[in-house]
Amino acid sequence: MNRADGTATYLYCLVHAARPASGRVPRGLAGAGPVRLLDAGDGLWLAAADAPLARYGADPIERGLHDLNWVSACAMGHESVVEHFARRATVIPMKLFTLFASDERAIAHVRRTRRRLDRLIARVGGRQEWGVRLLLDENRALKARARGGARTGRTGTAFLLNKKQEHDAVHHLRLGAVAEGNRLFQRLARQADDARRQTPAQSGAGLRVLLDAAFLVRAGRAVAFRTATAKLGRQLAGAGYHLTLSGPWPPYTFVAEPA
Amino acid sequence: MKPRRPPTNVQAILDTADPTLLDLVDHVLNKGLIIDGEVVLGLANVDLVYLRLSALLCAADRLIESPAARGRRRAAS
Repeated sequence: MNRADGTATYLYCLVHAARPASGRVPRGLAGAGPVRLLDAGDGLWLAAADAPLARYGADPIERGLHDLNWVSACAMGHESVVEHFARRATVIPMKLFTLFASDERAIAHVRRTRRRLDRLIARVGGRQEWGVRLLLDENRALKARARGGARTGRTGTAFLLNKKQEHDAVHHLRLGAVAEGNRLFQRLARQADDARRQTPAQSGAGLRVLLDAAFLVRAGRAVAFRTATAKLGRQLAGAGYHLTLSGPWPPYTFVAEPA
Repeated sequence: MKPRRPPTNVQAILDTADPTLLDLVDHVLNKGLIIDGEVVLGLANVDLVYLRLSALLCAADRLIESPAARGRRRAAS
């Protein structure tokens, strides 16, 4: 379980259970060994596997990160193991490519951060993560607005006036859209136990990302959360907005190290 | 070291920019990585993956569920 045999310890997640019911654990990452449960004491287990450094060392990962297909295949393998345990117990999911030099180092890391982990377990237990994204199709939104105002005259002055009006329209549209994103976040956060906003990456192509957020929702409140989100999505759809909801996820966002 | 496997259904999924899969990558990658001991990993290119991801994610415009939720539904039916 160390570099001497060319493997590292890959960590999928931590499992909080007296003794995890393993069942038929999925295979996980391609080329990695079967999932093993390492005891960190007091009801905390590491779901780990041997990962060959030839495939999951620094250089192969560096190269692989250029290839979205490779990353996606790894992501599916990782997630399948995390979700397997998440269905049976409270888990602290690790991010993709969490690797340790050996089992001992992985366990030592968990022991070192045990107090923080226990707080996290209390916070995320019995809860799910849901992702919400709000996008604005600016072209569609502007068209929807332009239908209202008729253009007058064909003189140079009218042309310049129209140009100014178009410019103002874009400006107002963007201001309104930012407010809409904030409002959506606040409304959904009230239905959740915790909420995090990420700085959205912009795509260009006339699509503006106004909100990229994760919500931590009690399992018993998930249906209400979905219903509320879908309703807000329908209300926003007419004005050129797209709302997407994804989940339930293991609480990846809410167990992340503070930035 | 084995050669990389030929494109599978993952390829097909990405070609049609399946938002569920992209969201999955977004969730599990999200710039997190624990480095411990002798295994030192550079992750300079995560940003590159993210650029491509964000562009693809923006193409999604529907309610989507995680693979887990879909699996559960399949299991239930």
